[in-house]
Amino acid sequence: MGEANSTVRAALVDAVVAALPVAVVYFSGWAYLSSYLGEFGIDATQVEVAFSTVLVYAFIPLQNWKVLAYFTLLAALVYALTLVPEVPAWRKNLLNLVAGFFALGLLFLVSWAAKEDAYEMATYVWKGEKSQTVPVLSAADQSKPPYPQFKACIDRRQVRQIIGLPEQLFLLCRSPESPCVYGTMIVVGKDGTIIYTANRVRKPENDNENCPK
Amino acid sequence: MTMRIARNSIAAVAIGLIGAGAALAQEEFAKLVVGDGPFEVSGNNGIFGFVIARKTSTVTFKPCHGPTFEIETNKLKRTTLKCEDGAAPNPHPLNVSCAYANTILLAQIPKIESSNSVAIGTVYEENGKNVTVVDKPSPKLISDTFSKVAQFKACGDVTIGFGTTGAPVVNVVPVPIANQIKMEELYKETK
Repeated sequence: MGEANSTVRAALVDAVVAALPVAVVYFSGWAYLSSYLGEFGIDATQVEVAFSTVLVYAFIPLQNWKVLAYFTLLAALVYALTLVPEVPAWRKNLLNLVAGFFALGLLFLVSWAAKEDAYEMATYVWKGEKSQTVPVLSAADQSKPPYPQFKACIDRRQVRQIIGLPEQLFLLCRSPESPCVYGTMIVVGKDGTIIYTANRVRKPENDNENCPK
Repeated sequence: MTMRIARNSIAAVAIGLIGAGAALAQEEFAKLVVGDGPFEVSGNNGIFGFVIARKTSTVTFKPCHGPTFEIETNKLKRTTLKCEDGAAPNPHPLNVSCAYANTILLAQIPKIESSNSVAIGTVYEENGKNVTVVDKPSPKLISDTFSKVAQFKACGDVTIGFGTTGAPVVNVVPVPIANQIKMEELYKETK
């Protein structure tokens, strides 16, 4: 009975250990994506993102040197725990608890790194340093109210891509007067119709911030 | 000897504190700027703000968020919308109160309203219990004044810019009607 219990427990631990890296990577991807979209006032629940896409974005915060350093420290700690000779159960439990706290800390660090990297990427969009995208709109849509604004923005070369998803394309039309602070987000559906537009404001680092027009 | 060093140190710390206090007090002095607005910039980007200086065909425009910029007068539309009605960068704005408005500066409003000689861009600076008037402020003075604003709030006819601590930094007071920007100078809708 006792042997069966320990086998189940070992299998459970193995399953958790095997799933943990994927869970951390998935968490990292969502942390980055939700922070990046949040920089433009887009709620993460508004978009449908494929699992593979989330994994691709996961590597941006995971490449942060602070995350890598912390992960190395955590791996060294776990490895050191396996080298500890026979110790009383209470001490081993305490060490496991400490390692657990460190593992939890990794999630907070990944979340922080994701926010930092997302802010940097969003700043590229606001400063016009990201790709200019000109989607082809449906002919029927060109008589609707947001189209003249969209057309004027394309003519000024002020449209920048926020993110392109299979169902929706999120674009930012930077204002000509204050392009790093004010803009209009334009969401285009896959059939080429403008689904909605929304005015967005960014908080600049300071009033003398370099802002390419 | 030790006593003397200790006494000198205490005196130095006291002078330092007084100096720091004076600097802090000086920073806390708000300014009053005579402006015109609120206006919206044509183009549907939702840029609201005030005119804080005028030239022949252009104005210096202070938007509700971000740095001031020069713009042609005929791109502005007079609006009744306030800064609070536009989009904001921070989903958790400061909880500021009109009750903290600077009474010494706001006491100038009746004088401003009754004088047709007060132009857009005039700055009133609190100087202890006195108020000094700067008729033609330098762009740097204007820029420095507004750079400390974290959030605007309409308090009746006056719009107050609050700093990051929630203390008033600048009061934007409407220019007398005679010196307002005329409707014919502003943006005209084309059908």
